[in-house]
Amino acid sequence: MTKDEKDRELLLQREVPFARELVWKALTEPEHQNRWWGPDGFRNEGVTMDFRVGGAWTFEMVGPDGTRYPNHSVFKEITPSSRLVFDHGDGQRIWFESSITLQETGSGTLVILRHLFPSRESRDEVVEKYGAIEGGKQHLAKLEAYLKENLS
Amino acid sequence: MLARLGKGEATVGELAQPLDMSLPAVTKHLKVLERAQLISRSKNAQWRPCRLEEAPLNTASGWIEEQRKVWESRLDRLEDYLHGLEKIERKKR
Repeated sequence: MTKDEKDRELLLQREVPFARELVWKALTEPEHQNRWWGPDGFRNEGVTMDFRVGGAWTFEMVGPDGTRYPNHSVFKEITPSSRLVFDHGDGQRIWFESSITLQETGSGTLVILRHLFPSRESRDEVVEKYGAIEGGKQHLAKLEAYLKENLS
Repeated sequence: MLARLGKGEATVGELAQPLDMSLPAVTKHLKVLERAQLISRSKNAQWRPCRLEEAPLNTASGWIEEQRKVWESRLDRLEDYLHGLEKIERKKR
């Protein structure tokens, strides 16, 4: 990784005690992926997944108040059970490149997630334009969790 | 309460007034909202005014930090889901 990429990327990893093929399945098959994507209180609707390089993966995240958030990604690399790369955006523009790498370990699978903005300029533009929307989404999720805890 | 805080900081008394609720009842609600990280309360001032908690999403590092939280909880849910999926897959074999 070059120094320049550091301030426009998100890097996250976690080891999970499950076979790599199973993690891949949960990650790439819509019927499974819909069950954990979240956030809490959100559901995915109208999922289409054209699972090939150049194919699109689209769905709408529907918030607890009914607000719809379009998601539109295009696959750039598919290496079964090992690596998935896609450009993520909302159909209007690309926000960032997302790559998910799965590595077998002695006791399970290491999931490595990376989001990379194409440039600092595009990062700042996305943050400025979509930061508030993302913030609203998270606020709604917290509110939903709060209501569940206190009113049910 | 949240709608009132959307307009700006408020004290417990100001929040209780239009709601026809006792101060202890309002305080109890505020504690839950604080735990849910929906609001924060000033630690210094005597009246501990409340404000809506907003992530610093207007900065790049703040935005990336929020995305990290989103993905951490997404991975939590994935792990939970995999527990169930693994059992189903075992039965199939």
